[in-house]
Parts: sequence; C-alpha cells; structure tokens
Amino acid sequence: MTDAVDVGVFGVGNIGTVHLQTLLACDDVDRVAVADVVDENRERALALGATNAYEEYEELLATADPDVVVVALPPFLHAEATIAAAEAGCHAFVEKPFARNPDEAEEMLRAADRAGVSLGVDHTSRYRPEVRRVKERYDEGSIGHVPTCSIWRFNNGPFSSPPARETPAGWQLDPEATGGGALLDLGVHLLDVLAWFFGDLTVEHASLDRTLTLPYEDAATLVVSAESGTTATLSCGFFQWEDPPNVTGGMRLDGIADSLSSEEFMPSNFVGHAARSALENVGNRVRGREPEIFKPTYFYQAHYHALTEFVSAVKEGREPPVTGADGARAVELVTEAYRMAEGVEEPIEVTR
Amino acid sequence: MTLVHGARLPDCEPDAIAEGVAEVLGDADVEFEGRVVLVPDLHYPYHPSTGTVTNPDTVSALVDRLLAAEAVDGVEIARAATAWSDDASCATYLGYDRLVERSGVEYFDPDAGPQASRTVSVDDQETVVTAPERLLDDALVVPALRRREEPTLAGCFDRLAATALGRDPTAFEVDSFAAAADPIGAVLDATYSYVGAPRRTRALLASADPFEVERVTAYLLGLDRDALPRGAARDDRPARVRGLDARALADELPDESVSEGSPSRLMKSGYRLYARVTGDQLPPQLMDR
Repeated sequence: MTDAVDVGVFGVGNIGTVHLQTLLACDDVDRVAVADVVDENRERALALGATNAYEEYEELLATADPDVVVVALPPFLHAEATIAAAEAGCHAFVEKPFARNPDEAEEMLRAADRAGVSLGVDHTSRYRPEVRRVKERYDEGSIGHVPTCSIWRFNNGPFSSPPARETPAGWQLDPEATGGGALLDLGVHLLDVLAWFFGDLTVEHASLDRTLTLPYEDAATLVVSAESGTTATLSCGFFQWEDPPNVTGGMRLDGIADSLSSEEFMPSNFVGHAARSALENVGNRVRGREPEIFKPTYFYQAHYHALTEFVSAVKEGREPPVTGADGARAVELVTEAYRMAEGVEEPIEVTR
Repeated sequence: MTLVHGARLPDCEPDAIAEGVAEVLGDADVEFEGRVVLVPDLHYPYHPSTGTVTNPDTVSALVDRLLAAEAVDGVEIARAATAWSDDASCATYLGYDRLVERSGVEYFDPDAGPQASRTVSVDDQETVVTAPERLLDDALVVPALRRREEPTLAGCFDRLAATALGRDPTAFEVDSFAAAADPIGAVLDATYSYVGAPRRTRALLASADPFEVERVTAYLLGLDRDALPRGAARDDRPARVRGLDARALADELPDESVSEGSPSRLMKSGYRLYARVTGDQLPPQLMDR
C-alpha cells in the first residue's frame, strides 16, 4: 500500500472527532468516512470534512471499502467492530482499552492474523511530549539504572467537576459495557508506558477502592516489576476533579545517578503554552508551512501522533509502533490485577 | 422569632456528627411527628468531602434521631432524578442504599399519597405549585452549604423544588415553593462546605423555621438578600444564631468563584479564529454543540 489510504472512523463522539480531524490533516490519508448512530455526530463529521457518514459501521465497511478503520466506539463494541473490520480486510486502530478482557483481545488478534491485517491501539500516553522527553533521557543513560519508578493519572472519569454538567452515558457506568473501572480505562495507558520503558511487567500487588458506591473501582494502586529490574508503583483514579487544560498525571524515575520527573518537561502554564504555540503556528502559516496540529492544546498532539504513526506504518507495510498485542498485554495485566485484588490465586492463562 | 441553633463539631466522624445532630435538633425544638420526609441535596454524585452534596453521614444521624422519636411513625428519604441522571442513581452512588438497608427506612415515593396543587402569589403573579403533599408539608430539608456559579442559594426551598421537579429550579420556582411549602424544619449540613473550594467546616445548624436557615446560609456564603427566596426571608433582619459564632464561621470559609465549567465564549471565538487562520484543528470541547 503506497498510495494515500482511505479510512473509516467508527464512532465520532469526542475522541472519534479528534481522530477524524487528525486524519483530515494527514497527508497519508485520502478519504475519510464515518459511522455513528447519533445524527448530530454524523452531521458534525460531515461539516468537518468527512466524505460520507453512515449510521452503522457495517454499512461503512460494505460501501466505503476503507483500507484502515479507527474503532472509537464504547469498549463493549471493540471486539465485534474490530473483527468485522479485519474480516473486511481493514487494518484497525482501536481506542483503549483494546478489549474488555483477554478473551476478547485474543479473538481480535486471531481475526487480524487470519486476515493478514495490522492492529494498533491508542495508547497515547507514550506519545505525550513530556513522556517522550523522559524516555529520551532514560535511553541516554543519564540517570543510570532505575530501581524504582512511580506513574499516576487521575481525572473525573464519567462525571464532571462542579458545576454538574455531564450526564454519563449509560454504558459508562455499566461494568459489563466498560470491562472495568479506572484501572482498565486509565491504567492501561500507564502500564503501556511502563512496558515501553522497562520491558514486560508482572503485577506484584493490586489494591482497588471505590470512593463512591460505584459499580466498579474508581481508584487503583498497583505495584509491578519489570524485566529491567525496575519496580514501579502505578496509581490511577476517576475520583479527582479535572480542570482542563491542567491534568493530573505524570511519572518519576528514581535512578542511581539522579531522578527524572515528567513535570520537568511540561509547560508550567498551559495557557501560556497555548498562546506561544498558537503564535508559532501563525508564523508557520505566514511562511507557507503547515501548522503543527493540536499543538496549543498540548495533550491532543499525542492522539495525532499515535494515529498518524499507525497509518504511516500500515501504508508502508511496517509493524505499527503500538500493536494490538501491546493492547492485549495491557488488558491481561489489568485482568491479573483485578483477580489479585479479589484474592483469586491462579494466574490467567494466555495461549499465544 | 425562631432562632437557628448551631454547633461546631470536633471532627467529621460519624459519632461527632451524631452528637452534633442531637444537640442542634434538641435546641431547635423541631417537632417530629407522623412520617418525616428527609430532603438531602443529592443532585450529583460528588464525594461528600467536597461539600457539594449533603453528607450522607449527617442524613444517617438524622435518620437515627428521628427513628428514636416517639411521635415519629416512619422516615423516608427523598431522592429524585436530576438534570444529570435519568433515575435515582445519585442516591445509590452516594451510599444511601446502604443507609436504607441498615435502618429500615424507605425512599420517598412521590407517586404514593396525595398530590397538592396550591395557588400562590409571587411578584403579584399567581401560579400553581403542584407537588406531593407530604413533600411540601412533612419535609425536614437538609441542604449542603455550597455556592453555585450563579449567585443564588442552593438552600432549603431551592432543594425542595429541585426534588419535586427533578431539575434545578428557576428563581421564580424557588419563590413559588417557598410560598407553597411548609417544611417542619431545616438542618444546614455544614460538616463540609463548598464556597468555590471544598473545606472541612465541621458545623451543623438547625431551626424549625427554614426561612431562618436560609438567612443564615446566605450570610455564611456572603450572598445578599436578593439571593434569598422572596417573602419573609427578604427583610433586613440579621440572622440570629445560638451555639455557634456565625461571623467566625463565615470568615473561615474560602471566597473563591465557582468555575463556569466550560470554555468561555471568548476562548471559543479566539481559538476558532486561530484555527481558521492557521489551518489547525478545532478541539471538540471548543465546538458549539
């Protein structure tokens, strides 16, 4: 595949819209079709530049015949939509969590193997600018071996901070639909970053909590050990009020020679960063250059790079940088953590 | 004139709250008889430690106190669909199911019992307030001490109207309910408060006259009389509180504004212009929906 690709986006809610906008700005992409059951979402997508909008993704697959799809549907639809896409011969970039459980993940990977297509997953945290800077410094060896690490991410989950303004979609509070709570939704990002830095992980301890009487955990703390010899503490939760553009998330590496914190590489003031980045992009435009997409928003850049690198890889016949297997592994680790927290002794078996 | 009785608590543990409830209700001479409908603020699943909803531990203490009163036949807890949930899930998320199970009380059923339709006059305009009769006449309202983005009171009559309507009421609706309802009393839950920021405030206030509680609440939140429901609450008498230094409590509270909760029009317009000029993408949260 060397020509520009046609892409279908399954689901154009908030994150699906970000993916649509990324694709519309991507030189490797020709046409972008969307599918969404919500009329307003389809109308917005067409207004943004989608070539066609369908109510059902099956119709999109049959009619638009895309090369690549983006699965930005709720987690309970990831498996069926991804398998359908693979069987239609499409590469698929799947929102996190890759699947609700290891069994679904395994079915998705097998479908992709049978069809000879690639799967990727939107583990955006490893694309965040400050995480990339920490990785560069770690890879340089400037802090030496890292015996301990901590990584964290908190937001308000399906709810809003005051004033009350968000009605969570029904599925967001249904663990059957989501597959789990904060650990599955946020923890997969953090586990992926740790695996990227330090190699394969083993869950040593898991502690879950519910600060309100929710149907799933809204707070989780894990201790994981890595192939590199690093032991990491992972904390995540849906319990904290988030005040965008500020987010509560970061990582810290405590190395032999020094410690390294992601906060050292983040803007101290996001409003100031947005203003500077906006001016830089205006300058780019004046010089006849393309803007750096989503740069003022800071965090959406990560989604842009995650998806464009996937598209670029499949177009060039390379393995995607973050594969379906990476997504499946994160889900396995979360499932292991859930079992450990419940006191289930036997480890999960993965036959792959 | 009915006083408001207050108490500062040593902490916000359930035992301290129970002692505080006993103290303020004992002093306030609220008459409990028949079936009582407790009306807490549970408009959204916020954690009680933020002061943005009534503390379920305060409601639990009230339940225990009421069940121990000889003249009380039963206690019900009012919950309602809100603008942000289609069912009564907020009560579940805030732990009220456990309270109901533990104590044997029930959730108030708005469809059981007679509906009242009362014609009242607000600003020389007649209007009819229709709500369950028991919600209007048998309620012990338990608002949280919180400020909203609008400079209005999320107080007794606001919460009573919200419970009846299943959404935040307009100012006119609050005034209408203030004219139509006759609650048996009010307990201001100030164990935690939210005046732009959470605070462990450690206070309870109660009165047999909910209008007096409204007056004290407005004073503590730094709101003027215009924030109060019309009628008796709008005269310029100062709030009278016994058992607690209201001025000291008011001085302790933060004075921060409450976020609008979404990007301003100016920010949206500015980013749209920027995106048009540069060819960058407009983030979804800055789009008009």
